[in-house]
Amino acid sequence: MAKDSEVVIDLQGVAKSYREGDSTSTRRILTSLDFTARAGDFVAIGGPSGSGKSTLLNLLAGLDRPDTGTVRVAGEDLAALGGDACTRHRRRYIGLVFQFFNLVPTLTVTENLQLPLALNGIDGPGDRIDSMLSEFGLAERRNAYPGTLSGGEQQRLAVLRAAVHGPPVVLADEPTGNLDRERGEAVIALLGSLAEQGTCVVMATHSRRAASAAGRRLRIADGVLGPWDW
Amino acid sequence: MGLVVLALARDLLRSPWQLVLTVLSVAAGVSVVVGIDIANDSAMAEFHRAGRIMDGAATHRLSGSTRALDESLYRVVRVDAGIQAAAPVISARVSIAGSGERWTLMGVDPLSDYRLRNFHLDQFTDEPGPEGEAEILWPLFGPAGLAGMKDDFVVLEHGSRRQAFHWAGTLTIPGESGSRLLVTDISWAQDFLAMQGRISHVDLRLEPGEESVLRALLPDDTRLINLGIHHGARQDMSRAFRINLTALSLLALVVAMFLVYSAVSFQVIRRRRLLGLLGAMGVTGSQASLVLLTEVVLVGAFGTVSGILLGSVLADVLTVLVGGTIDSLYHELGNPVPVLSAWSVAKALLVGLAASVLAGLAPILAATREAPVVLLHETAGSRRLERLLPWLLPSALGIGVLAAMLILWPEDTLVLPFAGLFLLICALSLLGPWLLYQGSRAGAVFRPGNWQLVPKVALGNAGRHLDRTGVAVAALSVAVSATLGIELMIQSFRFSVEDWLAHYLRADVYLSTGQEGSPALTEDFLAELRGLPQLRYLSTGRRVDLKTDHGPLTVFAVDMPREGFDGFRIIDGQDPGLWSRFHRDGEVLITESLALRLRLAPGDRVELPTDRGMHRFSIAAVYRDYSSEHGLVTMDRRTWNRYFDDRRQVSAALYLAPGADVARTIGTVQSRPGAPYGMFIRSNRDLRQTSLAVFDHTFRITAVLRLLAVIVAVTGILSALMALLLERRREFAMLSAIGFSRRQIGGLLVLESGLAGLAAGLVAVPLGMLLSLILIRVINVRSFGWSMESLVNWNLAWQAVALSVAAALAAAVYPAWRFRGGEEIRRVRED
Repeated sequence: MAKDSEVVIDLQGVAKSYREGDSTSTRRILTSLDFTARAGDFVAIGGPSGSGKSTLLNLLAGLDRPDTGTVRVAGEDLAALGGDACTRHRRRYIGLVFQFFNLVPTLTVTENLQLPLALNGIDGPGDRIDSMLSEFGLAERRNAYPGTLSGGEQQRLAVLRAAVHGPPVVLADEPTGNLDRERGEAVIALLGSLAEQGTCVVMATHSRRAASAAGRRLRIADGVLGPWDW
Repeated sequence: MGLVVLALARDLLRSPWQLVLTVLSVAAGVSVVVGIDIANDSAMAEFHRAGRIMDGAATHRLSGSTRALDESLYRVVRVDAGIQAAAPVISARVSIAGSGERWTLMGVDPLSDYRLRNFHLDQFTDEPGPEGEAEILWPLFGPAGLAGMKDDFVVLEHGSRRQAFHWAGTLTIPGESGSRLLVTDISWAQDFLAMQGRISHVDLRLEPGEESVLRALLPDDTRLINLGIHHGARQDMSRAFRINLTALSLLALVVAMFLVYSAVSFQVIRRRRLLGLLGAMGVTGSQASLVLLTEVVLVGAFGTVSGILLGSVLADVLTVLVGGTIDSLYHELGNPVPVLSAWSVAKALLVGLAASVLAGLAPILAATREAPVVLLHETAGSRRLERLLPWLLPSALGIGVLAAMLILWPEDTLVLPFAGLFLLICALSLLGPWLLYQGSRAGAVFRPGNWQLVPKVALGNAGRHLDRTGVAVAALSVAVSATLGIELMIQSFRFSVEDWLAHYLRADVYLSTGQEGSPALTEDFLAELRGLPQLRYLSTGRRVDLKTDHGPLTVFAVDMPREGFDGFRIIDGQDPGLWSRFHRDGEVLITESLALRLRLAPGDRVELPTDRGMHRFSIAAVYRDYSSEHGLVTMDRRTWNRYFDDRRQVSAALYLAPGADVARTIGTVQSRPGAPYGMFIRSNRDLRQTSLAVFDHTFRITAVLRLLAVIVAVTGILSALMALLLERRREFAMLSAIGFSRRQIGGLLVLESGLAGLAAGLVAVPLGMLLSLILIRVINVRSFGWSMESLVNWNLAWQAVALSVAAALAAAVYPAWRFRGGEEIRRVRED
């Protein structure tokens, strides 16, 4: 972690509850959670299923809103942004990696990588995309559709798509949860290399092996973040 | 945005058949609207065109109340009133022998007519024509290629009169073609129609100030008619009929809108995950809305254009049906030619696109306003409608109350009741999905044995997929209820007409001399009839069309026994002295349609142009009558004789002694030497059957429209099921993986669809009955002035349920067949 680098994520006093099924009772997932991360950090967030890892990532991405507290990402309080403004902020400053890849099935490998660039109005991405595809072993599949890729290929593509437009923050939710060990390690290495290049990577995982590659390891328990005892 | 468009467009094209069905849904709805629009427009265009041709530049017309005018009146107009733009005319509807076609024959005076009409007569010869065996053949002008013409001769028939004409030249009217008009010299026309010394009317183009001069010189029995007002009133007569047709076509469009909503809604729901993903990556809700709305507009435009093309084809059939009905029921109409006008295209584009966008807007906005995290959660969509279900009943009730207010609004308009009717249909159709959901919930409490598991799964699924099938179920219930409602209305109408005929037609034999211009029944012939030994009573009658400021109005002058009078279905003003006031005191009966149209009641007076000038007749009672929707005034023959000079009798009714042989009596009457040529004679039974045949013919067009509405609905439910099959591949693959056979899964789909059809059918029954009640009690009364009994036919109700289930089952067959087990599992994995 580069201590002098810029703070890109700053959560203060964040609480979040969900209604349980059809009932009127609510379940508190996060209670007064504080968390900061800087550019170049590679943070692993652990915890058992249902502890709130994905909820935290959804809050960081602006996909969900906290009940109380502030979520600042890349200098903006996400809760204060309107729907479309929050979307535009996410588009520019945040890359997302999902457990089940969530690639656009109707776009080819190349087009999936072009999409974040196009949404951000970045021209001339051809060379960069080509070099990324070659570097990560996807050059041969550039015109293939996601449905024809292996799980490992799909997740590598998902990580590349999250990072292709150079966002300061990449959020990965269980990126290895659907992969075997070897392919999982390749994806973690890829995320690590992004952090080394200055991207703040926050990864939710329950895998100790995946977490071991991260510079900081935190664990959610009873709605608050604490150190992940190793 | 390009890649977002590409991603969504490719996804859309992954299911081309679904796209085709969406386009078809729009096309089907638009085609019915276009077809009816063209048919209505063509009929009216023909009406106006005939008016333009016949009237030329005339602004006014002089005509008698019941008789032709004396030709000396023309001298009064030209010399005494000093009006130059005036032309005498003989006009009559004639038939061309051999072709059976009805044409208008005009006798004109070429020396004066050119001031008003722009006829070009390209004369081949100025000879009067070669001499036939016994007569001079008179010159006639008409369009080239006249059917029925042989060697330049054509035989015209008018009533019992027949005359061969010599084809003298071609009639062309600049800017007009295809008119059914024949022109000859006025003197030849007078001879042919036995109108020597008389003329039908005088056409005039009046300058300011001339009207008052002319009025001062006119005799009492001559009326000066403003042609603009007169044609407006005539056109209004068929307005209600045309509005009803338009409303029926809009009903098909409403069904289509449900289907477009269903199709678009499904397209959106199916792509919620993709939309969520795009949202997570930074595509804003407004960007996604824009892309999806553009997609809807493109699909809607394609469907609308297809609908316009289909509608043009459909219009060929509908124009014949609409034109025929207007011609037989309302006013003379030539041969309307279906023409697709730019205005019709513009209306269709507007209606089709607006319907598509309106139908698509709600699901698009619902999806694009949703947070991406919700969209990414796959099952979130399926619970949306479920959450709305508690609101369905109160909403339906609220909208129903609003609809009832519109329907019963005490304003004499058709727009509000129709608006209320559509609102009511939309509100109550929501009950179909509600019923399906409640049935599904009720089914959940059963603890089935092994063999009942599949039905239980089907029942559960039927309620679980309401987001996908709900709208299709609603659309099906709308289409089936419309079918049931209109069928019940027609059956009620038919029953009422049958009942009315049974009461009204009390004589055993009816005879008339036929069409306009026919000779009267002579006194000698009537005396012969009175001498028939089996005769109890001979009733005579005459119907005369009078031209009034409220449009044409028919007077029925009748000399009938008390027994015949009792056949009138009096609905207002019944009292013991009625017969006496009608028979002796000169009071008249009017039909309920006239009472409603002119807001008249017993005790009021109705003003009629008579041969003694305008006279106000006291109304004794109002009676039910289905023979004329613009209204009849029935008066005793003695009353008629006091105010009108025309003594001709053209129809008679024979009341026979009990046990008399009707067929033999008809034979005897026909063989009498005084029987007029072309006389129509019918037994009571034949006349009823003929009348009902005319009734059935009139309603053929509604049968066509009902069929179209059902086709539209079946297309929609097929589309919804196909869409559902695609969406549920993952679920079916799972069932296949745990051992469900392909047949079992197909059966599951068919069963689910059947249950949806059952729910739609069960809702359609009360909805259809309500629809028929509104049509009978409100729409028909305001449209035509006819009240009738309301029938409840449970056989029809069950048929409606069966139709709904059959339509749903038929729609499920292909999707069920299309499921291919293992292949589906592979495709799911690819996704």
